[in-house]
Amino acid sequence: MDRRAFVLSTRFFEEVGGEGGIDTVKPSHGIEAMDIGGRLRELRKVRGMSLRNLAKKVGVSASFISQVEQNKCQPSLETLRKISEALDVTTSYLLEAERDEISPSREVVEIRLPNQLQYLSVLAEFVGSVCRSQKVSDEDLDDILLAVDEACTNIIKYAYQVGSINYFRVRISFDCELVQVDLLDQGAKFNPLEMPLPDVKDTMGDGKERDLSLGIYFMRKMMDEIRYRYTPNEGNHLTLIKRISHSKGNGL
Amino acid sequence: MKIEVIDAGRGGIQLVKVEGRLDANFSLQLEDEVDRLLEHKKERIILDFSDVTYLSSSGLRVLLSINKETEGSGGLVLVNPQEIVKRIIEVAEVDDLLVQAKTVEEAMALLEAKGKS
Repeated sequence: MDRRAFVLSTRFFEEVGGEGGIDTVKPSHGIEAMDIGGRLRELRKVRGMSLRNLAKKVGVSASFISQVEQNKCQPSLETLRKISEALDVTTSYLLEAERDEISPSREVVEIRLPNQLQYLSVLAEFVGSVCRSQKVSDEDLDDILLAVDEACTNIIKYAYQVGSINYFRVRISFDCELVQVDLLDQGAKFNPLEMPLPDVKDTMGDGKERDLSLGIYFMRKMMDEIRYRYTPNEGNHLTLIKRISHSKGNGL
Repeated sequence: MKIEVIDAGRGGIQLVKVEGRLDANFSLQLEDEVDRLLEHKKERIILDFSDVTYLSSSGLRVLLSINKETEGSGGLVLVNPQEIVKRIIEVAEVDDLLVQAKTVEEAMALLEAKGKS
């Protein structure tokens, strides 16, 4: 069953051809490394947390946090742990300068798709067959599929001007404990982490805000970690991370 | 995705069979179809979800909207949603809003009982 699905979907990608299609790409190097202070400042802004509030949660002074952000002093590991806890990220995210950069030993699979809603089902087949080939459990896969679908729906609907054909990229990589999906588009700058969480019961009806917010709510519920950054060169770069439990069944 | 309106054989109840992925690409189609059914008269709607394999936020918004539209006429019942669909409804914490039934018959009975009360 799985094998057949894979064959079918592979053929589908070939038919899509042209600008679409799967590429196995080498991870890019030379992405500018950000310091701990810089990442902390960015993250604090994204979370909308004042120096004072963060300091209070961590149990240090606001000026200490400020100095850390300017790389003028280094926090102890214990403080760093508390900071990451307060900001809801892993300590390694703050520590590892190159966390975004996928390790060269990791395999990366990438697909490039036009901003058309009809490609959402192509995307689901792609993500599904790649994840199953890595023996990701069905339950984790369902979560990943929903989060990726929501993120890409938002790109397709809102990143570019209506009627213009543009492309976005979906890059999947794995290691033994996580699946990382990177979404890259050159459209309007948009940080989904800045959206307030919606009242789900009030998400009917029209309006871009409502439309966007429910999808982002699902993304946040389904994934363990979400990161966003924007650079003029790269555009929007959204990273979705799911820690996985491997399925015991056979993959492809 | 496929949408099929089936003659339920009971007045005031429309049975709609939905198949496939209810994502952003197709959810509008379902909304338009149900709106068409509701255009001329008040109807109660049964959506047979046995063969719906996926639901995204767009699809869920359409369900909530149909639910609201039919509030005055006795409502909407979802029949036999798959685990993945149920889970998405639960994650969004709207399982108390969307009535579910195991079979079309059960859904009919639910709607008819509601009509009498």
